[in-house]
Amino acid sequence: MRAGVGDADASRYMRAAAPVFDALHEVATRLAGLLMSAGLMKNRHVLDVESRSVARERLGEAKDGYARLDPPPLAFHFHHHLTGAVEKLASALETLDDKLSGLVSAGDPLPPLRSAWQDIEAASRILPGFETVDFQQSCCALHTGFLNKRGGRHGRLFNLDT
Amino acid sequence: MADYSIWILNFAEVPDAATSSLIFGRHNSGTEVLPYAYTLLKGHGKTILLDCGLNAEAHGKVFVDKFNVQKWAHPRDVLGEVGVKPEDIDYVILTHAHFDHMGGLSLFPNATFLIQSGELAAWVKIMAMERKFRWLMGATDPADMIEAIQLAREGRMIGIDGDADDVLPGIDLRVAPDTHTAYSQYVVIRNDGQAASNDCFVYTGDLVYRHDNLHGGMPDDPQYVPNGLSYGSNTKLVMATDEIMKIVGQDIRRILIPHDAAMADLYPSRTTERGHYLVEVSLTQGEISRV
Repeated sequence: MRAGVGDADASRYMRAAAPVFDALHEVATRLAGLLMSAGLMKNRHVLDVESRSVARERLGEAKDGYARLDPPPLAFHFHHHLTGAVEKLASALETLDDKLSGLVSAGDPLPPLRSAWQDIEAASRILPGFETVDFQQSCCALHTGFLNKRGGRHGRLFNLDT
Repeated sequence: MADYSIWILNFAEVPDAATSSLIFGRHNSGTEVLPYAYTLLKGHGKTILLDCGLNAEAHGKVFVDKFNVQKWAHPRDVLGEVGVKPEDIDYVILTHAHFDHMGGLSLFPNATFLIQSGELAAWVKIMAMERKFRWLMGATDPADMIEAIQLAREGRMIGIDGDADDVLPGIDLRVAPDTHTAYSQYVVIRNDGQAASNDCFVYTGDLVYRHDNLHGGMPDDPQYVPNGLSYGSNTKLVMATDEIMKIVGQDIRRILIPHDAAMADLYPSRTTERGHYLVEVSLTQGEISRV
């Protein structure tokens, strides 16, 4: 079910969920970057302590924000996928840390990351304004309908700022 | 006789792209159709795709739905017009990591993908930036990056470091750093296989959107005009454009532009039943014409 304009509970939820979603998105992209470094470029960027540290910090922020969320029925489906993303990204980050610390039993962080991303994508399709890709400046997507009528958290279709 | 048969196969379009997004400075100039197309090479026993489009049946559906992409067709139907199946693709050369060029990774199950290592490294760096830098991530889908990690593990995503000659027979890669993206590359096809080729084509990726980028709308008094969106330097893009022009001996017919429907006016072409254009740039001996 998609939320509509004017649902006050959904609006409140979305306002609170936005930073959680953004933090999860950042954690996922940072993890993807680290695994890309390790997998394709075979370099030691994966040991980039700062990026992993920030990912961990952002995941903590996401968890804190998530814990405060009180989803209305309209947002249950979205919240379900948000829950999945929180849990799977925590698992992916933990697995990566284990792997880098040389733990023999460490698994592969990629499967939980892929699964978490699927949850993030699924969530983005349920409520407006939660984008996985910023197409706004996309060279091949600058069609006028989008530019003039785009929705989202700060767009005309669902403007939570007003 | 040509070493490669070359086709340009339109597979979707945005009907109302702002002209200013395609040609720098043409503000308030309305809109135009922006086609998407595969460029397919077949020769030397290999089937090669230049960029792999997007997958509107998977994560690309978001893009298609939101951005008015019309007439998207699955590559089984698009490539089928020239008797090729997605499973037949041996190699895909990715010019850059935008979703409409790299979003179709999963559609070609037997392909090995070639991309500049620097392009991926740049995205790794950008992906580690804060949300306020998200403009830099525009048009790049983390889902593609995650897919690329898996492909790399399978040995199917290969990073190229800089210019490379004969990555495949008669095919060279040239990097245009800091232009449309951090490490966009273009593809030189020496279709006679000669080092000093007299039958050269260049596939531009998004370094060029329109012939107007090559002559500024004034073929008799040409000037290079960059496209409407570069993440890097427009000056470097103009210089790369000049390199491309030199490679093809100033013959713009030999510049293969995936987003320009005018290609269909330069070579034998036809419109398919789905309404897509199909351009036949060259044919090897014995290859059947598809137009």
